[in-house]
Amino acid sequence: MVWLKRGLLALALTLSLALPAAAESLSFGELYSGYSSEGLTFSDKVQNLAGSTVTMTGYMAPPLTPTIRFFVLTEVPMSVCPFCSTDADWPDNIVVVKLSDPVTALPYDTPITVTGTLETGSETDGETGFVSQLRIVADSIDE
Amino acid sequence: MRDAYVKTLVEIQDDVRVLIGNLEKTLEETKTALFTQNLDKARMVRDGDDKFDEEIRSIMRKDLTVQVLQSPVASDWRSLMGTFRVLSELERIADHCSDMALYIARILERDPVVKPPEGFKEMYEDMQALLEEIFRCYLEGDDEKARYIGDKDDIVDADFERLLPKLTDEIKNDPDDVASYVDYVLLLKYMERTADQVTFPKTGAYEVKVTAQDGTGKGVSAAGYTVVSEKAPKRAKNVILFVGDGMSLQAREIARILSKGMTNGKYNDLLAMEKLEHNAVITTSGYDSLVTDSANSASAYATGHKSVVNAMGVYEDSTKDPFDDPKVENISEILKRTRGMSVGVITQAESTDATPAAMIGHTRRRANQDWLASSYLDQYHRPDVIMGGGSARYLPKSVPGSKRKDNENVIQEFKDMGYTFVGTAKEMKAAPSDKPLLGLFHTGTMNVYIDREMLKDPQVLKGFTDQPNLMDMTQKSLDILSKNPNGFFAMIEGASIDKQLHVMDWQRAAYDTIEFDKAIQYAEDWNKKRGNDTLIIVLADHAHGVSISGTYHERDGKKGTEAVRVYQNSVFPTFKDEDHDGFPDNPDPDVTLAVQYANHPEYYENYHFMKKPTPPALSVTETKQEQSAIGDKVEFHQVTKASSKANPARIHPGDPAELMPANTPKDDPQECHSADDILLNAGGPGSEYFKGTMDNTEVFFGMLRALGIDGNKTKVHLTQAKK
Repeated sequence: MVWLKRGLLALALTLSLALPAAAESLSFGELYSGYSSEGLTFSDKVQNLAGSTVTMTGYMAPPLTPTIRFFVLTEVPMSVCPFCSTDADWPDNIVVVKLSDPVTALPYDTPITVTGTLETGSETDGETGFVSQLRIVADSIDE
Repeated sequence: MRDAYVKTLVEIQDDVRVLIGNLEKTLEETKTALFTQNLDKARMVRDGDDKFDEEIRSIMRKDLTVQVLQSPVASDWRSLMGTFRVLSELERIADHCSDMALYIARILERDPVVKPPEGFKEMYEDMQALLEEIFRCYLEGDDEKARYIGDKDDIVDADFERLLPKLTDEIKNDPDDVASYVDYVLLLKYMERTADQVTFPKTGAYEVKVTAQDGTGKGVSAAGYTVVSEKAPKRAKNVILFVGDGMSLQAREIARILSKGMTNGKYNDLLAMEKLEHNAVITTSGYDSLVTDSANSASAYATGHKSVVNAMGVYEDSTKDPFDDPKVENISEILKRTRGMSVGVITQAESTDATPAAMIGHTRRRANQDWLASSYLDQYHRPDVIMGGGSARYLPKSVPGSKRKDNENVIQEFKDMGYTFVGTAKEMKAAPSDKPLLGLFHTGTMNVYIDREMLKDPQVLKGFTDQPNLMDMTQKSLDILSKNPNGFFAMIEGASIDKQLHVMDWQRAAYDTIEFDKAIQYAEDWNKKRGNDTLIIVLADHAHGVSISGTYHERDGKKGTEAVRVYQNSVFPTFKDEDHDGFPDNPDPDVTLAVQYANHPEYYENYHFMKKPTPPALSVTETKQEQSAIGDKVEFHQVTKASSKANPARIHPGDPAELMPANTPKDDPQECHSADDILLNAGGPGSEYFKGTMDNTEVFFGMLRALGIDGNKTKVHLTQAKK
């Protein structure tokens, strides 16, 4: 797994240089203020932080491609693999993490902390068709 | 080689074309015989049927065995099946022509000749026009369209209804010509029957066989069909199909132990489902594999045909498109088409999850849930009551929580069609009973009984704090559906029995099984009150490898595997139900069941109840550096594959960490379905059909038999238009 650590380190090094000083911490429990079957409502905190730098800690859902351009950050480790099983599905409260430089792998079963710019609103990934509502454009990822 | 195959199909189609031409001529000759009193023509048609039958048989005999380099594609199958249906249909019409000519000849041989009563010619022409339209569909190769020309059939039926009393009057007025008028009555009946839409008109065994050859050799594939037309002695007005998803025999037994308890080895009571008077063992395999999934197995109940894993209402074809596979008409479509009945799908899973969706939709890939939600809007199978979770599939993608890939607002579309939309238990109870209902109580799968009604942990429920229970959902759906005088079909699913067994949480599965049983109890009482006019069926769709090994306690300080009590040490569990609601007050008593699984991922054994839902294994991806040599060159590349590992959160504090290695492939982090047979219980009219060991497809025929449905009849005009 040497190559993995090296990749991570390289990513952390390049990106941490450009890191702005203050990043507001955001937890999964703070994402939504309203839950209804007619839709979820972003919390005031999320709405206020859109466009700002935030820090979130969670788990990376297992990707199926060796090269990762974006991944899904979840509150708890995934016990199903939505990409490999048609039976499975994503939880409601997921955050898509977009990477400026694709990486080869990240740890999936230990928490990771992502820092970057928070984006809200519907977006469809051109390559995979994956639709997301909440994203972090990552500046850095730390174990 | 494929050319040869196509050529044979073309040849057969040419033969059919000639046959249709001859049949049109015969219909015209019969008409001439009848309305110009031409006895010679009548005799000619009467005696010409043998020739027809011979022609048809020769085409049927024409070897459909053809050699192709690739497997037959969907259109080939459709074509083969269609040709077979068309031939059967033509044979029937030719038979009817000959029979009509027989009666015409009898009338013309009498003295005096009684001329056809008024209105007869119009009816004959209506029938002829309808047949010509159907023939045109056949010639265009559109067998499905032919089946949907149902409203024209109604015109001929109306002619029949109008002419019959006229003829009886004639008999009264003209007693000397009774014999001829009786023949006219028979003729009338034949005209009506000729216009009926029939696909496989004769009961019995049919076989379609295709031989295919590829590089590895010759393969023969044969499909057998038995056409039945059974009717129960006492007809059911309605059918309720209760599906306990994954509810194996042992899952029921766990619920019985917890809910009813036992005294000196005897159960204090049975579950409501176990008190239904008839039962049968049901086999569950699909046509592709021994172990099935919920889509394929529900599809067997809904269509009477087996399909493949992840598919519903279709025969799998060789193309990638999950929506172009040949469709099989399902029970909702048949009941709406033939009798104008109402349909309800009630579940605690997403309302577009496999089991409910298989009652309504058609796709090769059950994961297309957003597509299925939109397809629920189509009138020819649109459910009158939809209840469950999964609103994410209905919300436009611009709304947070949506899982659609487009901006269609399916909830709004249902509202525009006059549906009441409800999102909570309170709203559901207040919903009017004289309107169709869309009830979506969660964006995803609804929470289970223990979390929803007992623990109410806000971290687990998130904001969904007012979800209805299955008993109330059952009551509301029956209130609405029973308003239809033509009757209804309801599929009510205990969905999370399966979902909780997948994550090896037998306690949560057991409480949901008890909840499911209480919904059945409600339906049984409801049926009794209204005079037993409803067939109630309770079954699972497949099993899980869950087993009761004994009991478990730590009274003597033993823990883990050493504390599993077997044989004489398996003292009875100490579940208590002080409030007599059927649910044990505490899912974690000091003596509990030792429940183990035959097929599982890598996991840490934990015999205790887990307050927070904790999956047994975590999904991971393994990335490996792989080496491959192309000539002299050696290349390294990374290969990623899905895998899983035991979830450490599953270790019970204070107990030894007992790691159980996976005994199924690691790419699935869940406990899997098993191929074990399941049990069916049934009560009410038509339930006597269920006995012995039966195939899952036979359940479908049991339901249609109870209702006395003639699948060949189109009574209610339906368009395929969306709105």
